[in-house]
Amino acid sequence: MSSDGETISQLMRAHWNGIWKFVYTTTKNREVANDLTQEVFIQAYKSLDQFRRESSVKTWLFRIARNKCTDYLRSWAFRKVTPFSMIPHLESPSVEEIAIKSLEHAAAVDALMTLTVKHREVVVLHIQEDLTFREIGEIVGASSGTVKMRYRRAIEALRTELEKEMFTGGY
Amino acid sequence: MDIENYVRAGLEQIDSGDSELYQASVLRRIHAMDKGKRRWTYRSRTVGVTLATACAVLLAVGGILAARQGAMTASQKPLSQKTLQADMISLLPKGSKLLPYNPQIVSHFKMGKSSLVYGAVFQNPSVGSGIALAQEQKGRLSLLWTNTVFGVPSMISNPDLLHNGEHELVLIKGSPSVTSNEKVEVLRFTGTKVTPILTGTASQIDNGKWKTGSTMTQFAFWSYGYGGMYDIRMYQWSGSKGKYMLTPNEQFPLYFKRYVVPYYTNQLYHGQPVNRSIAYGLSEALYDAGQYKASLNMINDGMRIPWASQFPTNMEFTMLQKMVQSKVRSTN
Repeated sequence: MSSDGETISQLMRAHWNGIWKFVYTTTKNREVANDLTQEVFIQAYKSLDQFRRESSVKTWLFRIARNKCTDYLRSWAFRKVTPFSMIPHLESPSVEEIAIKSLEHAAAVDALMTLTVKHREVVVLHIQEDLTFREIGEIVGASSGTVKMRYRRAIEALRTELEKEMFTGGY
Repeated sequence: MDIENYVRAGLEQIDSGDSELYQASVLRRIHAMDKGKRRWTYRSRTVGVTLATACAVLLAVGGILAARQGAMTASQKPLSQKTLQADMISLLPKGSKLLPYNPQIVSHFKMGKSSLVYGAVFQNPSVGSGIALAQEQKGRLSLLWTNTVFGVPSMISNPDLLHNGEHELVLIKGSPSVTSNEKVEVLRFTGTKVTPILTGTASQIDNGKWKTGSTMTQFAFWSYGYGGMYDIRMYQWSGSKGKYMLTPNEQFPLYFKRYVVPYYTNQLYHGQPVNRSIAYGLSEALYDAGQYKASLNMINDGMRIPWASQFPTNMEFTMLQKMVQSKVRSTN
């Protein structure tokens, strides 16, 4: 394999999960996340020579991912797709599994999924990827001040959503 | 409540699934690109495996205009770029400008049995952008075909698509991928005339001979829908019309049985999570494969999957069910 291929292989090892989760939380569809994440790295391979090193590789990859998600969300396919595709498996999970899932992460992820795309992407990039507001601004095409504002609003919305869940016995 | 830590813990719990499988798929594609054989066959894991291992010949469209230069004989030595560009411009509508295309402006390749054809992409403020094909006659170019409806193709190749010893020209717009369906046009050259013989939109194309006794290659256009579901359109050669025509899927039970049903079955039982669109796709594929009883069973299973208000809704399932039942009645 070419040296570019090796580079992409290394990038995939380092960033696959992060990119996948970003795409998944943006599109809310696992199949689409599988497909678009592959597309991100193929695009990166094709554009390696255009990478100007003005930003970090990580920021660059997430910018590609964000563009792919934007294209997808604008496509006719998305407009017909199930808005929240976490459809349960045909085989029912055990009571124990349901309890663990709901306690550990479903509430947080469910609450995250209620946010707007702009708020959701900022939360995922900051909390999961530890990117600064300036770096996130480079990815989403906004100033660091705007990103910071979006993040604060997103956290407040999450707090409200989760507290509402607690009071209604969601978990 | 520490929202940030809570969300972080939630995000960590999300399982990204078979990442190694998908990474391997990316590396295979990159490897193919490295070798200059960009296969336009990429799709999510199951189809990739199903088609690449079991299917007939998958359409490779990586070659580009100039890729066939080595195949030409001495008597077919191409004209100089300067002459070609001047000639080509003179054949196009006034104000046209030739665009650079990999890396020559006017490229040449074989079409038909062994004819040398010249091609260029151009831009015109009045008629738009497109592609022009020309042939040499007594040292000058004469226009064979021009099209601005298709626009500027992003990929051009000229394989022997019909496996008849002739070379066709395949034009592709955009960058086909799993979530991106793009326009495709196949042109045939009879020696004097260029004719579009197949036009469609797809994210992947499959070709082979799936009908007993057929002499011409058939095509399956897989067009991505959503949630892993594809709209599959079958094209068959029509001698009377001189081009490929859209043909009902039911006429290709072998193809659906061998390739489409296994794709959906794999997605349904090994993909995560189960969704209604895959169940609907499988029901439809079973119908096209002539497996009506299995199709009806799948429709019933599909309607029990939650999110009945989302597409495909139970109404869609019911419509399909009626179609299958009608077919069962007519065949009994």
